Amino acid sequence: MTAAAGLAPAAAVRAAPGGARLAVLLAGRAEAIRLLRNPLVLLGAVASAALVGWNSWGTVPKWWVWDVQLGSSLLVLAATTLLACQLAAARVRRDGATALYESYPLSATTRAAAHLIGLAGPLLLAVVVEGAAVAWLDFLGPVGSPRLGVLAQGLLLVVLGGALGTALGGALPNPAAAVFTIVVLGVIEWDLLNPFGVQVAVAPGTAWFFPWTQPVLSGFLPGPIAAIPPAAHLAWLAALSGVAACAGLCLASWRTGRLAGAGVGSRPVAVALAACVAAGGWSGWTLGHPPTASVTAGLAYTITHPAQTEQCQTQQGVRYCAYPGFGADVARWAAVVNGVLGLLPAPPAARLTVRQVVDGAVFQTATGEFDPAAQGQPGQTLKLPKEVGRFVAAEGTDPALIPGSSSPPVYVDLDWSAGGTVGRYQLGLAEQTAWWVAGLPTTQRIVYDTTPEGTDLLSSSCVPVGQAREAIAIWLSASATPGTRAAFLAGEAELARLGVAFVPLRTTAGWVAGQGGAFIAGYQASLQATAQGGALADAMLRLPRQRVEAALATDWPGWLRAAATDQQLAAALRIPLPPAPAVDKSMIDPRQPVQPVCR
Amino acid sequence: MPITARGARARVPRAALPHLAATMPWGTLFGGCAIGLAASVVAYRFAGPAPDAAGVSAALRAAFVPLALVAAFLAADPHRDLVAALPAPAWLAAATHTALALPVLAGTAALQLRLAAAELAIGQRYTSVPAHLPWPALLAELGAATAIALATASVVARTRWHELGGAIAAPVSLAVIAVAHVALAGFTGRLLLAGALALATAAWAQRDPWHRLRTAVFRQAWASERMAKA
Repeated sequence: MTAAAGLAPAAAVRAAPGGARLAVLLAGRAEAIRLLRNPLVLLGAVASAALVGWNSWGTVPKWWVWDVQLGSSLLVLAATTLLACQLAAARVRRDGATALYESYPLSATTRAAAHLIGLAGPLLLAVVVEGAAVAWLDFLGPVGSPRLGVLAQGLLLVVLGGALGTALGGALPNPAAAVFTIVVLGVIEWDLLNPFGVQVAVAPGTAWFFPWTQPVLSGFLPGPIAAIPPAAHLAWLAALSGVAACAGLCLASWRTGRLAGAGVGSRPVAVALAACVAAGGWSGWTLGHPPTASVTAGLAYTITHPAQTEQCQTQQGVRYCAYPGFGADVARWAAVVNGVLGLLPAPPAARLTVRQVVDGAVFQTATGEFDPAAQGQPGQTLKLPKEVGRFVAAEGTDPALIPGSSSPPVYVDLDWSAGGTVGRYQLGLAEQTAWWVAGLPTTQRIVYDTTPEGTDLLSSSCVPVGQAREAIAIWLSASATPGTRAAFLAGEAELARLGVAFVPLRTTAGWVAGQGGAFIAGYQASLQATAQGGALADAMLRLPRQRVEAALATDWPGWLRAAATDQQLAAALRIPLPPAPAVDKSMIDPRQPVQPVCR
Repeated sequence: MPITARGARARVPRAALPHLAATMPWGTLFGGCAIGLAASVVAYRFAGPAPDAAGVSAALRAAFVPLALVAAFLAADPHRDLVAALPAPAWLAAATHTALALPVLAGTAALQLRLAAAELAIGQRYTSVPAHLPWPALLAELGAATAIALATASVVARTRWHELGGAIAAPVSLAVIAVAHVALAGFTGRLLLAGALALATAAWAQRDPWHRLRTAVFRQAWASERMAKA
């Protein structure tokens, strides 16, 4: 409806210098305003913003994850822009008004160019959405800084959607064409973005051609993945947008030529198309080649040599070592650690070191090797050396893996929450800290159980059967902060509801009931506790804190010895010792290794 | 002129069938079915090394989406204003379009289900744990999604934006289907109920041949009321 936009008559337009250009700009401005006010585009912008808010709520964002995820969120706006642009470009043919518009001074090519200029409307909206998202994420206290090249890719996705819609509208006026295009692209993107989605295997190195993906592993790494150079992918998206725009112009030009009986083609468009193809070829070649081992060597070294790459700082006698960029997390960790240490009658004899590591539980497969494809994310282009897999697998088994760490080690991973689940993260760190205080192991030994069916990995460590320090450690971890207490009690209730509150543990003292686990988040340490110790800790949590602290202060070093029993602790607290829950014989696994009692 | 004789009423659909078949969106129907079928073939051909029931179900659901969206284009009748002045009932066009499309949609869905079963059978070679696809739930989801798309298109067809019926109904249907999937996944009975409600909505929307824009009607009524008071 460019004619209805108050454009100047043809004669006036052509009489003025640069009149044709002015006409395109005026028509483009009108189309931009129309697209900006289009309900579909506005809904897409709202949905994109809502996706950002939904996914970031209660998290501590990492910028090397979120600059990509902003692009993923803008895919919704890109889809609605595609549909709106297709409807706009096909407007004349859909209304059966081609002959009428041919009588107007603006040719079909000019109108197609105006539609492309009109993409400035959705682009402006995308800039607003992305700007607001960046401000919001910055407010959440993120780690690292955003890469401008990646942020620009998100904006180009919207342009690409619009250019594709314009070209599609020039070729097929039926709105179903745009709807089905969105469905096809949406299913592909769903497969690429959701590791548990359609699960069609995409060959490594080709995922970025489609044109967007998000490596799920990047959230578990201490820095951006060097797999995809932002400049190459930016060029790829620009080339795709350019090709789609040129296709739209060529279609319109071809139609104009066919109707007027004249030749078709335009030298500037041909030159632009050639440039886009060249840029697409270069960027496609770059994207199609996974990074070599030398490119990922830096990241691998960062993971396997945390002692050399991390920055350490000491707060209230505790040493915190974090990867560069994670310094803001130290205050979050310190609140938990100080909560545990503040409950002690006397400061610990040794110095505690809290160290950040890449969580091995995320990557390791049955054989302990690093295999991103096994994580259900097709199209991963990240190939790290096997040493990385062996290293992260050893975090849970080798207490002396990283020089300069505590013994037993206290680890945190790269994740932390700022929302409702923060208690689970706090409880995970508090438990390790309390286990360190009590001198209990935070790692386990791997036992290989080979049967005719195959080899299973079983874990084994000492179990503090009947030892007072176990109940004390559980009480310390649950009492560290209000969040740890809530998470501890909620976890117990949830495990009881699921019927897995207790599991059988095979020890040198016989079968005993062990705690079914804890609802923790973050680093998953290998901690074991008996059900009776947990029951005694529950009883301690119900007592006034001063009473427990007073009882512990009577002989603090003595309580930390293996000889101090639950019975003695209950007597000191003047409460009856809760009975040890019976072992559920139906859950006994005879292959379970015999674990020693902690000494 | 109204037709009152029962025999003459019965002749109306018969006489209208060729014209309704001509206005049927065959391209959209076959295009949607082809895309859905292609998605199933791709999922079958390029599935991971050991597809499980959850993965196969997810791929099948994704392949069903184009089929459901085809329904969003069935209720649109480019000649609705003209047909409204004819003695034929208003719902005839949408009902005939739906009746013509149903066998094609059902046939495509049957092929997709066979492909999904074959894909799952590949995964079963690598495990001793038996897995089954939730056939009733999947069919109920497809039926409910199709009914929702049809209902949305029928409602849009009554508004002043009837020309863009499919383009508006498709994204709205997608959003409604997504919400229904999240809220009702695993509840086959409720899904069928949602589908039945959607069908009832579609029938209700088709009862009146004229375009209505409630907001405009209300605005006019409100303005008239104010003028009368003044």
